[in-house]
Amino acid sequence: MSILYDEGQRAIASESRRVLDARMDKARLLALLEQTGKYDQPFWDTVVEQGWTGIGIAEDHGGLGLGLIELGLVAQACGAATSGAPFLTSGYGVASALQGGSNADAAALWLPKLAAGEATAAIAFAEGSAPLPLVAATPFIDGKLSGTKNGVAGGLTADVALVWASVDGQPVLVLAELSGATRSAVDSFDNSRLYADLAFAGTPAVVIAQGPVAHALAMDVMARVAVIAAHEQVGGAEALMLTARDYALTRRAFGQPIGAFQSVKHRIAELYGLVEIARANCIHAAALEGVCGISGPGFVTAAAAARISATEAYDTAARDCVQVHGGIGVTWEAGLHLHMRRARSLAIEAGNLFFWEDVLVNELQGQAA
Amino acid sequence: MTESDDIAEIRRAVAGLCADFPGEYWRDKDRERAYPTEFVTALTQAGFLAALIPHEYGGSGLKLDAAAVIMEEIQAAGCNGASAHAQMYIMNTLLKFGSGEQKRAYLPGIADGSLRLQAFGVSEPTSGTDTLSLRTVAVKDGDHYVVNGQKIWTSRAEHSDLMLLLARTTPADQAAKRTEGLSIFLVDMREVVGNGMTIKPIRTMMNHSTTEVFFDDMRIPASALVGEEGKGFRYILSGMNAERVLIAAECIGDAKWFIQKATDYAKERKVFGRPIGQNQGVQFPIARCYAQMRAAELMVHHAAQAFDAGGKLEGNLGAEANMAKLLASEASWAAADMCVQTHGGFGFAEEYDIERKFREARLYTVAPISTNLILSYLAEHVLGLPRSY
Repeated sequence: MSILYDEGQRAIASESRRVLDARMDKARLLALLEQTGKYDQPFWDTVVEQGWTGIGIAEDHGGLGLGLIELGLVAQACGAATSGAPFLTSGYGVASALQGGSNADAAALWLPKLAAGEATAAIAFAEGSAPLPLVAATPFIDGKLSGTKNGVAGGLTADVALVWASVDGQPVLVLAELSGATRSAVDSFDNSRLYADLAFAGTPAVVIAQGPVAHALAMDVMARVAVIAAHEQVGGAEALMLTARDYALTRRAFGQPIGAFQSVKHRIAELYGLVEIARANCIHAAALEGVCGISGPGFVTAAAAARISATEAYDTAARDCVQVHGGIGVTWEAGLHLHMRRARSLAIEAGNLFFWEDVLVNELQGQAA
Repeated sequence: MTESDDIAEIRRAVAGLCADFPGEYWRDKDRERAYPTEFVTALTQAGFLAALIPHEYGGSGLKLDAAAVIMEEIQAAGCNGASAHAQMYIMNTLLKFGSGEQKRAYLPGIADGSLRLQAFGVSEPTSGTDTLSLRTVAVKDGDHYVVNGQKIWTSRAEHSDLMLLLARTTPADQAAKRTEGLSIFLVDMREVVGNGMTIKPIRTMMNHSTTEVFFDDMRIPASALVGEEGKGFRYILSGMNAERVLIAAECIGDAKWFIQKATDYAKERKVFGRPIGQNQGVQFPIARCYAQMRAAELMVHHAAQAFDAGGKLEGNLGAEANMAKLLASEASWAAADMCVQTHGGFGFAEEYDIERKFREARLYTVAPISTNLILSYLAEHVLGLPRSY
């Protein structure tokens, strides 16, 4: 493939940015921080109206039949705007499991709804500190789920969840309607992520994949979601880098713009380097995606690299942008803390750094042997 | 913190002595891989290496905090105390755990320099920092011990009359505790070199006289045993704290040398019509190194004072000494790197001495104990985290 975006992809990038610039409102996002269980409805309406929910879903199921490159570009725009709801990423993750799994009925039922934005979905894999435990402590017996999944992003309002569970010590990936689960809201520092503790007690669910295939599919979902999250992180980091640049050009101290001081401008130049490295890793990973099925060799390695570099870029940009702004950077109104918070929530949602570093080490060991 | 007049006087005296050994002297030694005998002799004659030996044995009976200043000043003057620092601290084990007879027999000679105790035989090829797994054995045979095995990284063995040697006297599986079964011997090398002991120099990236030492049925008198048999590991741990503090002080001296050198150059070198030190990209790294060095310096003095208080201060002396070495060695290495960067191409030219000091400074995040082992120690013994190795 070409390493350059084609015309259609460039149009997606600029249009998604334009729409979000026009419709997002910092004051709305700031207000959401102080409420539990609310997300930014205008943001989500825009996502649905623009058809972004259908990007990664095959045309047969009502989607646009595009892939990670296109969805990644939209995610970058969402990251720059600190997206007001978590469903674009998680919905894509669940859709990719339905497309790669073996349950045609579930796929036929849910993919059109997810593509049209009529339903939202969450991913409930993590237990304790393990983003994807080897054996889940969430039993699935006779078509029913029990146990709990804590801190599930989007879990508070999503219609369905893809759940990492186990049956007779074997892994199983199931889809459960959350109307049958008990949800408790988690009050967090980034409330529009809609974190919830999910408790299942005989909740009906259907099998998407079982046995070793389930693990491979779950890992594939993790990697795809990581690539989307990494794009979102890159979008956020780039926005912060540009914000820092703009401030350094206009803010004057000691008779000159602060950007004339090397300690300020070099710091911003280093952010530029971090953002571009992470972006390159994201493009590489997105370009390796398999089509509507389990991805080929190299994808997981590339996804891990994208995720690790994007996490570092966003975290560093969040810290340095505040530093460049000085006192104004820590004010509520300036809103840099929206990114500071999002940098941390995105850093842990789609598998934390430890997880992806371990994945990367394992993948590279396999190559060296 | 104002220093006492005594300490200030020590600094002046050491700086005065070091002025006779300029960069040129060290460059020549470095080029020829030669031992700086003249420098070590001058330090000995001035009594600096006997700083820690009590008055009754002919030393100056200084506290470790004062002795540390001697090592710091040597490095800050651009000299290399690694050639002689062991003469100062190895005797500590003898002083603390040796018999009255041993102390009377050896300490006065060590104090006046007629006896060089510069070699510390601990590390082995198969047991670096894992001291307890060492394989050199000493077997009692009548009124002698017979030693077989090998040591590595035994610095200055070619320039020493005595060696403090750690060897296993009880097989590990028969020792009452994991940390028992090792013993310390004060070996008179003059009697065994070529007669059971063979020394082979190891060439390194800097002029550091380190060696491998081989023991082949080396017979030493039973009177060479220091303290009780089997307790050697505990004895050397105590001596290692002094070693770490003194080497940490050397690192502080190195950092001061690099910072001074970089500061002078940044003021005087002009590019784009002004001193390069007017650029924040140049001056901030120097300032950061200064702050890092000062913080480490406080830790070094704190550790030295904890040592001098003999465990009567709060805290864990091993941890304090190790942290001082860790922070000081990182400060000196950061300053070394910064100094090369500040000087641009000139940092690589021999005549500026920076590349030589850079090579020398690199040693101390590795020796006498590596940063990782210090972190493991702090994690396990101070913070109570699970042992990681």
